[in-house]
Amino acid sequence: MVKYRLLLTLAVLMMSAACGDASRTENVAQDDGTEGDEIPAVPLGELEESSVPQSLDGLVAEAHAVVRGRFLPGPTEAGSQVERTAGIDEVVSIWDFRVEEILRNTYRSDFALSGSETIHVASLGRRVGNLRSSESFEAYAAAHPSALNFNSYPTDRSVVIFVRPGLLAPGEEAPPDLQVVVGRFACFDAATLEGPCNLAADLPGRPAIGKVQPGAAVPSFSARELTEAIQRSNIVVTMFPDRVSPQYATAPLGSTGHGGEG
Amino acid sequence: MLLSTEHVTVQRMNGARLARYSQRKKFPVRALTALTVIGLSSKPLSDVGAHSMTQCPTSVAPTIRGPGWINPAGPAGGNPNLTYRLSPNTILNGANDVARDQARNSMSRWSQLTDINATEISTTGWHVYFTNMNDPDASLAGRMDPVVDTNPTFPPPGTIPNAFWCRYSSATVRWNTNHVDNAGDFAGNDKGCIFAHETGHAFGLAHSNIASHHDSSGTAHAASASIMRGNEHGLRCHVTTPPTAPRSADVADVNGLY
Repeated sequence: MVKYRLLLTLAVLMMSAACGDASRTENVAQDDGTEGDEIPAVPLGELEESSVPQSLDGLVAEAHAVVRGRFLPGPTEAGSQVERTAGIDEVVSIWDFRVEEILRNTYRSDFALSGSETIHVASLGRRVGNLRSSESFEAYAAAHPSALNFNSYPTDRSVVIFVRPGLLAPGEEAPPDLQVVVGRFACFDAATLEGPCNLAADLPGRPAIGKVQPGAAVPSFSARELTEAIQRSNIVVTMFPDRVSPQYATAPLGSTGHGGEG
Repeated sequence: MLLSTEHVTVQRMNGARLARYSQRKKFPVRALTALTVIGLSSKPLSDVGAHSMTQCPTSVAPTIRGPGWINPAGPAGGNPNLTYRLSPNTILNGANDVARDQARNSMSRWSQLTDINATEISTTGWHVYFTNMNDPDASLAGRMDPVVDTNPTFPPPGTIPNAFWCRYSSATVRWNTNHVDNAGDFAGNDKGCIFAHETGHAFGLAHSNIASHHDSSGTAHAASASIMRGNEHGLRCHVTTPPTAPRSADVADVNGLY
């Protein structure tokens, strides 16, 4: 059932993309600048890639939920860290993500993800504009390569994201449904399932100045393969500090420790 | 962690230049070509401009891929001197004594066990900078971000050429405060384990249990021989007595680079 619903949804999305929706595209293009295919695509290195599951099954296993939907423009800041001498100027952004379909949900039934029209997705990213100054993004990224350069998401199209619980620094109140994208790059175009969808911007939500080279860091898969991987997955593989767990308890799928470093 | 993109010197290293370079270095192109066979990439040498975030060409000498030579002043095979600094904002502010001690211990252990000679400084000019991060992905324990020398002086005599191409000028090593704080299970030596692992990245080591890892051995290490195995963080750092120092394979790999 889920399989056919996903296939139908993707088919509708592909038809929509083929027919075009000029007004929406134009409006959104002004928001995040993703209309330009000219923005540089930056490859990711193996060390970045090795922090992301290399197989679809691994990606699903590390995701507490898989959701199709759309990032809404205008993320809010939830915290920042600036150490200029070390080239650190970062912000935690919280994006509203409008849910179109939940493809996998391992949380308990009383968790806020269920039945939500909008969830919150947090990400850590650099304030690239402050750091690169007048330097081009390509030049900056060449000298300062980091996943943190990809601080933004497209808002002009639906995407499929693999998420797990998010957590803000002590003292900062987090929305009860806060999520993060698995491995930072588990975001795929809903119509084509091409990924990752991450963008670079001078500030999160601002016009894109760079994107991740398609195919980098993430596995490729079809809609059918995604559906099958979700259906056969019966584990959640993550490692969180204790203070995360009560809120984000999963249904009895089984769980084991994992986690990792960059 | 983790790294990326263009490198002027490498980008221009097309087949002809590579041949000239290899001739000057008495390093046969055939040998370089052979190295591509054991790498993951099937790209020909003419594609040497396409390379990964490590700034290393994907098709050349992957067995010594890495930043390699953080301090160009140090001779190959000698004892490279480098400096490190603890963040005055997040480690030396009185609230993170554990982080301070663990960061120092991590660098001290790397320094004791490898050819690297690390000295703590409190001014600018450091090669490795220890601080925290506040990543909302609480499952991520730490990360290393490099600053790449995009215009290095060409490899001086005695250095490892391909490692030089991948040189970092400095790197930040960080623990995620949302993953490890100063209380509970994820503290103390757990943090030291994370520092030790990320410092290994700063020195040029990749994850040692993945198919594409590129250290001097070319094969995956046993868990007991490396602190650099990736995606095993929970099993490695959140145990009763987590390792806070490089292990035998890590020592060999770093000494192979410096």
